[in-house]
Amino acid sequence: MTTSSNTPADGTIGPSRLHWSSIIFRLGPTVRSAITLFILLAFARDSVYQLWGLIALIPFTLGSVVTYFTLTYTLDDEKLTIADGWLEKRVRQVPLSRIQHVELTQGPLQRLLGVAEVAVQSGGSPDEAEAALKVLALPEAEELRRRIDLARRTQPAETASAADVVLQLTTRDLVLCGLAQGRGWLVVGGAIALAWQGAETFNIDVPNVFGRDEVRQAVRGGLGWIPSIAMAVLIVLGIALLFRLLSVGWALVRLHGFTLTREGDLLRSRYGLLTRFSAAIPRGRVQLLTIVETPVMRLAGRAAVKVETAAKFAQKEHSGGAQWLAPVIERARIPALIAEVLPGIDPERLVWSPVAPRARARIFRQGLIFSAMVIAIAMLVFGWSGLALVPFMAALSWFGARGAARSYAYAVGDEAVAFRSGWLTRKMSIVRVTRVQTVTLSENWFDRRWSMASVAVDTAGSGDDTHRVDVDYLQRQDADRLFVQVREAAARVEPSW
Amino acid sequence: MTIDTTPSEPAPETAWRQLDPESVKVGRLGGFIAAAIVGSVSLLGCAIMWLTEPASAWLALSLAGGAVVFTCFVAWLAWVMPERRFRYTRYRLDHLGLLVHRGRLFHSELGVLRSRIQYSDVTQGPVQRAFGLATLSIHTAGAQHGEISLSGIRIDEARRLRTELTGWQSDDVV
Repeated sequence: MTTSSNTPADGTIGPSRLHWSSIIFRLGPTVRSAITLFILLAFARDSVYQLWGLIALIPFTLGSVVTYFTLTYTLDDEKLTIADGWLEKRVRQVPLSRIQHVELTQGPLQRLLGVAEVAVQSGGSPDEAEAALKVLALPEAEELRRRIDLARRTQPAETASAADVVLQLTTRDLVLCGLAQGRGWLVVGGAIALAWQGAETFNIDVPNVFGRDEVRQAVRGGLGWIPSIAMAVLIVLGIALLFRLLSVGWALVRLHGFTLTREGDLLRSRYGLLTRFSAAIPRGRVQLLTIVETPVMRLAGRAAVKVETAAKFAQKEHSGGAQWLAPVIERARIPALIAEVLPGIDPERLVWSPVAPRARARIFRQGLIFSAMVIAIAMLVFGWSGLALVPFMAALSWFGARGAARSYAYAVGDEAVAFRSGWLTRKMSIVRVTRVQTVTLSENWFDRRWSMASVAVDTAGSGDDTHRVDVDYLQRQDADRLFVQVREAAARVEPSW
Repeated sequence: MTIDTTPSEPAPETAWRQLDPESVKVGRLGGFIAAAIVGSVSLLGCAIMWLTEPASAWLALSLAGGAVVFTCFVAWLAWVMPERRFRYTRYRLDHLGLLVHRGRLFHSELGVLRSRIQYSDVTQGPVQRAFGLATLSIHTAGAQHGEISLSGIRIDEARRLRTELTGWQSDDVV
């Protein structure tokens, strides 16, 4: 309390309390319905005794009573401060520049009492407002909103212009997209199951096929087992074809008429035959862009592109976390597409660095351990025949490790951080450095033995099944360097949205 | 629009800092209280079981034994973990923001940038208050590490860190 000369013309609001009725409105829905039930019962039965039941609920109301008596909020030029708690005290500060919107809501009962709920949201968690003032007298609530809006009026308005079509998919594209859906594992699983089934049906003891006696017998028997194997192969191919056809049908219906347009800073995708989907992707809110190439797509020279927007925006329009920017697109057109979404970032100009050379050995060893478990389970089920998997699993581990280690790479520049991985299905993700929220380096016990570490970049992206920028198997020194590089690049460029 | 951050930047601080040594006591005390609650509730359950179903006394007794062992384990963790946490947690403010190092077996190094801080909490539980300690929580818009908390620093240190970290403002970053 030194001077009052530098207080703003508007003055500071608070510290003020909530409205008394907040004791009621802060009660959980269960407690509230229980209270209503007891009161209704008392009326219905016309006896006051039912009201004694309310006493049992007192402990459950303590929380909201304590909140009413302890919570104070203060708004000054820079921040909103909310202090609450009795045993556990908390002082929360939300800088005004971070607030994205302020929402006033009024239920019927709240309207009757002339109060409103104020939810102040910044970019943090998607499900909970960072600061919820429940409830304030309406004039107070409106004043608070006015003051906060005044303080953050600096944000530029989005300029609307005519919509440009960025991408439109033809039926041919959709067929390709359906063919390329990564359903490979299903087919492989089906093939193995069928092979076993076939072997049992035709009385072939799989591991003994390689035994000399049986082979000799089979040869003596006039190659009787060849037709049955051919049959099994045909069935597997048939099932694979069926899966692909189903997948094509799905793509034709679900992605029918896929169109991506851009109006100013807003990208919008529309698609669907039976149900029309429409997703809005504010360009400035794009957190992460991922390019996915399944084996079929690679053969056809195409890829799929997905983006993730901030959690907050996912809720507003029907557009949960990850969105297709292009379910399928020629690889040559990708840089142009990325330029539409992340202006100034050219994926062709990224300089990739490999992970630790020993990553391959480590992934191979992990593969062997996994294989050993698979074989052990197979042996529990099929007995010694399970050993037939050994060459197959060993080869899979070997090629898998080689492919995975080769594809693992990262790139960091002044504008963006990128990470790619995947052997059969390749994925590459790009994050603009301005979208980096935190950088984490982690090193577990196994990492330490291999002198490796991983570096992860966190964004506000909200997808669950995301190819995040999370680089494992880095050489320890490289990890340290990457950590510092990303952090500095992210700090250098001040976010402009 | 690129904002120049240099003029209002606080002087960089280079030294790594540790949690307050008292945080070990606070952690242990909190842990023991939790262990005592877990132990007494489960023993009470066993006693009720024994009284109501004398026939299954053996079951109740063995469950009680299990509860004692489990409580001892929780108490052991409560003794060991706060000390490890104190030993392996380090933090530092630099010109970019806050760095936090944690853990040994699962070591992690986290970097938060000043410009990414959405809001911050300084929280003080009853045990912490008795020792003058607090928890500082920094919230970013991140989906994975949206909350970074530093528990077991002195309350004025928590306030100081918060002021240094959120001292200047910038545009929206989501």
